[in-house]
Amino acid sequence: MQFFTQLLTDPLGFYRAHQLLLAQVGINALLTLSMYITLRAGMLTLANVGFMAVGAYTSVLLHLHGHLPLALTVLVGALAAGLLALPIGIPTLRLSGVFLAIATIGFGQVVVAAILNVPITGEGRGLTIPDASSSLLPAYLSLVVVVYVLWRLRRTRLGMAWDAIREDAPAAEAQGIDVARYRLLAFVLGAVLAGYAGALEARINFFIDTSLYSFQRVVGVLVFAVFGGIGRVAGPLVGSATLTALPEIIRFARQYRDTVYGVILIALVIFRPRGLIGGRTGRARPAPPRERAPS
Amino acid sequence: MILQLSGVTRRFGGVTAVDGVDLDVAEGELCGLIGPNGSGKTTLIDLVSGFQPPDAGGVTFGGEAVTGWPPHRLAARGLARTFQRVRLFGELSVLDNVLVGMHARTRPWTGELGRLVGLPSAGAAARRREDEARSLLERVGLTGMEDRPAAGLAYGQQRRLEIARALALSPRLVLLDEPVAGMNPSEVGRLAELFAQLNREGLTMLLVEHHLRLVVEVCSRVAVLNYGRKIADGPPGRVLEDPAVAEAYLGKAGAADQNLGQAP
Repeated sequence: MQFFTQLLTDPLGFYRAHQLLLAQVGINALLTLSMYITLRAGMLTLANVGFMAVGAYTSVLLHLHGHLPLALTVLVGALAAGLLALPIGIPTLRLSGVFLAIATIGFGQVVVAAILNVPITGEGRGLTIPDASSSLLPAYLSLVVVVYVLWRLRRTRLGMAWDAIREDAPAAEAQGIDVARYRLLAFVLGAVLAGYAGALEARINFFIDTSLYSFQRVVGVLVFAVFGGIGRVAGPLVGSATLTALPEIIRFARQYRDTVYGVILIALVIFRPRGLIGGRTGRARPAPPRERAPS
Repeated sequence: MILQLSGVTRRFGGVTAVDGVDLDVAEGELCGLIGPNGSGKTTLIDLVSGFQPPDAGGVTFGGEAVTGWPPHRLAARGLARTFQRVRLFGELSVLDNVLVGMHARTRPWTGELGRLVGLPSAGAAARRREDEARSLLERVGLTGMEDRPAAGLAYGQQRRLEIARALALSPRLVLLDEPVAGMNPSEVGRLAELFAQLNREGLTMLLVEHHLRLVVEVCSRVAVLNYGRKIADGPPGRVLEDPAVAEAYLGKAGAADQNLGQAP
């Protein structure tokens, strides 16, 4: 309860007390939106956390060893993740459904294993960024831009092609949509956004190690996306914000976080398969009620 | 000739589903393709539209050798198709189903960025496409349904939406895979009228159908498949009187005392 009363009565104190949590909410929102992109194109890929690690380590290593400014390395990290998504995506996107999910989980695990075995990454000890900045501005500013772009994108040629592919890939192909190419584009854009979120996270946290990119986090992001629903861009936002803050709100639930996520996921699939704020992915509205005959 | 098949063959294991079929469709023609169940009609449609590659033989579309092309490339050249089992974008609105169908006709970059930032000119182009989509929906009798999710339509309406979506490509050739399957007689009549009208306007169509009466009514020419082979090709009246065709449909004994030309 104190969580909410402080938010309302003492916003500045709330900001100071929960700065790390707010940062986490922003980063997780970006990460969940990267998942939204691929889900929107009808693909269940779980490589996003792996791309997040690629973005984070690329950025931090370039900063520590290449002495490039942090802000620049964040962008380079995002691009590196996107570049890596090409050779990963071209063979794996031939798969679909659970097979694609399994292949992409494998990718995330390979990234973590690689980090643990390459000396320059600090192996298991992680990397410290001495001159990072805990400002939340970059994360929230980019969040606004990303949300706006994704929201506008829904009605563009690209956004509608993704919708069509998700609904029926062969029919989309028959209408002239290059399904393989549009899927790869979604995969790469998702990787860029995930890499960006990872690099930003490193910048805010002063420290990275492989525990940030665990399988638990992969499942967590999936739950965020499914919890909010992908029918609207707001879905992933609501999902990631609610579930990131939940362990803070209900302190005692913290140690059971993964269990709680699991229960939420099951309940959602049963009761609200379209997610908490659901909505159809298209623009369709329910038909107006039929006029009643005068009685 | 807009479409030319020469010796097109497709095998599945030991079964030859389509066996050395030659078929030409002339521009402006409404050609029927009939045959008993399992005679290879749908496989042939898949071979023409790029959903399956032929094991042998060649396909020419609009004078261009297109054998082995992926479906989206053929669609961009103006080859549209419908599916035997309806395939719509179920969650999208009826209108959006048709708008997505125009994908191949719109340019990737001009407009895309304009739409992203909300340029008025991009909005105007989108409105023009929307008007066109509405008039296509009117042609197939779906006015008033524009905002419903496609999955919520009745079966016959879904079939008609699929036809509108195929027309949204501004196609040079439409392959219709059993478009009236499961429809009632009055719906069949309305579609027959639509096909005849579209054909009068110059649209070339290849109509795969079980419904013999529809084929006889609207097609100027009919080809018959049996066990993957083309066994007859010509005007519907003559083809249905062909003893080989009657035998394919009714078996030897049945063919002896019935004649398909006078049947339904």
